Amino acid sequence: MRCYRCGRQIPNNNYTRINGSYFCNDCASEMGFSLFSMDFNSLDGLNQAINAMKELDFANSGIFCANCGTTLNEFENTGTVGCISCFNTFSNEIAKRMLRTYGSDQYAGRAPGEALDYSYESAPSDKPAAKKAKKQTKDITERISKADFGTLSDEQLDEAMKQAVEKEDFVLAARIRDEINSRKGGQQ
Amino acid sequence: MNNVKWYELSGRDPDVVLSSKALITRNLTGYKFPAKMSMEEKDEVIDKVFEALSGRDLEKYLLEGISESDRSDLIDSQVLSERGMFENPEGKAILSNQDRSLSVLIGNNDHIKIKAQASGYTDSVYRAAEETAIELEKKLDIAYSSKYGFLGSSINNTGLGVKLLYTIVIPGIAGTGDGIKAVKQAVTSRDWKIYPFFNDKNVKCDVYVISSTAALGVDESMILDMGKKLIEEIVKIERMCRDNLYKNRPDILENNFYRSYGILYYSKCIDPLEAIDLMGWIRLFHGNEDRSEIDLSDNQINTIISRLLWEIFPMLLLKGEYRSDEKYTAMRIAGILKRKNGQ
Repeated sequence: MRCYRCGRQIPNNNYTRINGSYFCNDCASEMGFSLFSMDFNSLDGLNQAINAMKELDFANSGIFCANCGTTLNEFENTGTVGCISCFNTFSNEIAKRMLRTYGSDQYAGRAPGEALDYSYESAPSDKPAAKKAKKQTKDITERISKADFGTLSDEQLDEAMKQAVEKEDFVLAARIRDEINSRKGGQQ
Repeated sequence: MNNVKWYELSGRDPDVVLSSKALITRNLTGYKFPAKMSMEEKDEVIDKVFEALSGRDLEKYLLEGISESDRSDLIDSQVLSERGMFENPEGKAILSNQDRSLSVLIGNNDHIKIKAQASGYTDSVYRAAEETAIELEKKLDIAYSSKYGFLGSSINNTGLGVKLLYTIVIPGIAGTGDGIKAVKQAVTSRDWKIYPFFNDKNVKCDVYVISSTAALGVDESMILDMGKKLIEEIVKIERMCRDNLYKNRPDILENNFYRSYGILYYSKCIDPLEAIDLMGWIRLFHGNEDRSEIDLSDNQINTIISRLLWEIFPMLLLKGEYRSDEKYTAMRIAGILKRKNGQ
């Protein structure tokens, strides 16, 4: 890897990455980006920047709603307001947060007192539910496909045979036929 | 007197959707939001809302000093469900109809929260909540701006002030590989969110809540349409997953179904957390059981799950104890399982 500034080969891992480009430590230092070569003055600048952020935080505590006393800092931390007047006091911050949260700061819903024009589905039944019927009416072929035929009566096998043929499940039908034939054979 | 509650009634897609809820938040002009209100102002707001809805057949409850039986009934009916309503009852009130499908919570985070709820999937809960909201909007000075819509105490409650919630039971999806992850991606990509009913790793439960999040830039009908599409898709996927699990592992599902049923039916004492886990197996195999042996409806299953959820939820919310002892829990479950013909 070569330094983006001086073009020299950069020894292993001795580089500084700035805005996606790689620089050798010497160049980075000359450009004022290397942490190790940072002098006290630049650290002091950092401290000043941190202090300025704290003052900004304090300043947000100083901006408050005259009606309820909620501060801008409170709103920024919790997303809650204390009264309707807060919407005027913190209008810019609220608009920004709305945009960030919803991708819009414009209301598009119904007006107060007006019903929504919408095609609703029917309301739920007002009676206790009846038993689920269709799915629980078991298909006998489904049940016996994993069952031991020996547990089924001749009538159940006949019924299963009919259903298996109707469903064109010929593998199962053949198994049932064999079971029926073997029973008939056993009786003879 | 008809004492049937909303969660004991039938609904659409009951095998997957436990309940549908619509919440509408409104505030009055001339008052600060509840967090900044004096007790006198809170009482005034309660009086105003009571007066505005005096023509409705609604029961009134002041939370401070409410009787234990009323409190328990409101929790069972999922009316009383917010931490603030439990912890600081002063200056808060509830209006509720008899089957608890419609309620109005006064004085919690916002002045008014209307809650409509029904079993299974239905969009008519929004209509029920909206009817009450419109009545209040006509009779009271509701905080509204043409830019932001209905103003609330937080960004989440400002705008439409509407939230749709669907509680779903999805053991099939949860038991299928990255099922939950896939559903989460699908739901969040549509600006909705999905989260477990119990946000507690110690509770094994396949109940989730899907919730709308939009408040600006869309209208109510778009939210209703999206909710419907999401539920239709999730119901379809859940049924496919259950069928797939049944095809691949029928013996495990069948065995656990009958074992779970036996424990729930015959226990004289059961921990609600154990019971909710067993109900997951019941749900997964239900529909494939031999009905000559076990005659069980979706409604019975949902009633048990609802009761268990609301037995456990307040305990987790307040880090306290269960509302009733394990003996009573077992008795209630067995009582529902022993009902005949879905009654």
